[in-house]
Amino acid sequence: MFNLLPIFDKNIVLFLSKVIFVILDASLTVYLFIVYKQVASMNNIIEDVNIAIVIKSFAFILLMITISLFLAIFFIP
Amino acid sequence: MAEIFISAKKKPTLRKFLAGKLLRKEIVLFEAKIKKKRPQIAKKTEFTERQLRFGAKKIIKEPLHFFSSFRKNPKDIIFLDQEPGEQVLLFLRKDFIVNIPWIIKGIILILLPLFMLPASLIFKFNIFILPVHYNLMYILLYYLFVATYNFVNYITWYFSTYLITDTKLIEVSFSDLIIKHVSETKITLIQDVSYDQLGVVRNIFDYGDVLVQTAGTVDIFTFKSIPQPENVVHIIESLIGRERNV
Repeated sequence: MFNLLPIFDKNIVLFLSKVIFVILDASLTVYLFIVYKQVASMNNIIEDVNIAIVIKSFAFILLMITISLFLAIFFIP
Repeated sequence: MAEIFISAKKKPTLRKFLAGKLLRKEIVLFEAKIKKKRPQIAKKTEFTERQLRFGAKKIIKEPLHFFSSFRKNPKDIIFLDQEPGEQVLLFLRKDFIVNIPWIIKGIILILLPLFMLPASLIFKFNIFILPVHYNLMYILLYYLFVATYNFVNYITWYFSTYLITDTKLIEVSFSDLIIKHVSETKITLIQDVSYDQLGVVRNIFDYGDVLVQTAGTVDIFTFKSIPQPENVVHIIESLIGRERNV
């Protein structure tokens, strides 16, 4: 399984992969939060009543999935 | 009037009334009827002219869909600082063709992991260096990044809009999530309108830039890469004409 990284211990590799995952996921969460806020503020400037709600919901769903992924990584052994 | 005199000559009984007040009254009434009718005809022609120009009165509002870039009399559009009774006559976005580059990139990014397994077999490297659930988490995270990339590109296009109402032009620019720019000018301040359609692609797909020169604080409004620029110029010119005639 760890052919490419023979010098590292298995636990260290798993720990590092977790850290990298958390950093990536946290940055994506922050980014998506900014996107969500921007979508909400743009809907105040100009709003297409039927579509705006769909776009806002989609941004919210993406944000929620990212947050749940962020939490899920801590429960993986 | 002529018809009354002729009919009076034909019928002798009516001759009595020629010099009388009754006929004068009839003539007055007849003229009054004509005066009443004339404005009605004028209104009708004015109404059809407006309809021909941009359908301002003939409001058959059309709903927008997710990829609308040109819509006359759009339905359910609300914008900031909209005055009561102000109607959106034209709703514009950049032509959908400008989205093609990021759509292609998005499709490549979606399909990329599917090619990783055959690539690993061909070039003999192990892609599953982590346990299965770690791999699944990373794949999910990767697709979240791809979805975010596509979504941000889409909303950048979606929120960059141009509105032409019966009193003003509005430009809403939105780029890189942090740059928001809203500018507007009144129809009465517009001095000149022109359009550019440079390049083969723009001519084939009929989109280009419309330049609106104004006397306001913003010198030039540029409607970038909008569909049917010639049509848009005609609409703005007809609006300017109407405002000046009023």
